[in-house]
Amino acid sequence: MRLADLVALASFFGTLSILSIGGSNSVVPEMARHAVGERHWLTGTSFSDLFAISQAAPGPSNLIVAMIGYKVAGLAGAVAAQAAMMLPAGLLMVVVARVWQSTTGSDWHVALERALGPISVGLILASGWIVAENAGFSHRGYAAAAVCTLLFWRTTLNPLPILAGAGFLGWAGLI
Amino acid sequence: MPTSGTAEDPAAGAPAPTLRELFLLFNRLTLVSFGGGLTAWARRLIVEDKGWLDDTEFLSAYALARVLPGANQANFAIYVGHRFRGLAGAAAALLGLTLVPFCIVVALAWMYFDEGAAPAAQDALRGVTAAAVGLALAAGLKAGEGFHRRPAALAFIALAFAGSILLHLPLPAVLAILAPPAFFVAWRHVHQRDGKGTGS
Repeated sequence: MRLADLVALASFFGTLSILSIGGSNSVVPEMARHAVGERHWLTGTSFSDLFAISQAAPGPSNLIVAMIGYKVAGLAGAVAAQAAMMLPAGLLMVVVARVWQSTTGSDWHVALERALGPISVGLILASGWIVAENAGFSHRGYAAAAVCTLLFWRTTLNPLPILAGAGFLGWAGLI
Repeated sequence: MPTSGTAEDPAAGAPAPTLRELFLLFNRLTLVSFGGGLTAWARRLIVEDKGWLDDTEFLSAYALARVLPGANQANFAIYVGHRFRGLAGAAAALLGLTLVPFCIVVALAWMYFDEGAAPAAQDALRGVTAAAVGLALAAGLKAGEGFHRRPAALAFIALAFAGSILLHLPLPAVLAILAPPAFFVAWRHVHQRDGKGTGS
């Protein structure tokens, strides 16, 4: 049912919204587990393709959610999923921004940032790993991912030409 | 974090942006940062060009956007919008950031699912996926570099990674298990530093 789909999308992404500490890429593993493994909304290959498209597209990093929503329930699904992904975290951000401006430098503020930072880093690294696993790369695919990691990590090059170049190499059958 | 100066000092006396200016700036920001690098662009446009925030507030706002749940860029837009125009400003900035990219991405999803991706497009996508994996890993590595002298932090990075990848734990479980001890360690560190009066 269409309405049931919208409710399922909104409730799942609304929950992920609040859980996406460290940026929306930190919930990519959970998103894949639920959308591919439990709900069968899309295949693992499609999930990896959508992740790649959403990373190359402009805008906030959570737009893969709109594409999953579109697959499940069309335009209404895209709007419902994206709104659910943005509103809970957004409202929390509004509330905390007010408090934050008056407590900069306090102990709990410093400790909280210090505590969550490393966990987020681990989750973001895991998100890249999961996408690589789901993509079914050949050895050359893994090599390309490793080279791109080094380029993005060690240089300040604009990622877009590198994404385009990797797409060209894939199109040419080299990845 | 420096303790001198007050947080309430507004940046450089620049006039507060209107709702329209907030929407347009974040719309521009989101489109120039095609493929990434939004933070660098945000600093240049908001701190250098517009003077809406000074560097100190920019950095603390960015840290906040990173720590809280949600897309970093969306949280940052909400912070800046709310700072000048309250709830309406937050909405204007968030819409500016999201509206056009949302339309682009839905159009791409339509092409992908309804038009059927040709094999050539699939091959190209596999290449783009390899680069996108690199982008995500590099983001983790860049953010993680700052922790290289903190063994406890490195341990929490490894545990969060292992919990997701090796144990396939859902995210809430990873957070519920790791966040309390991480906060305990950080809290002790902050108090030790304050108690001794000297940094480590």
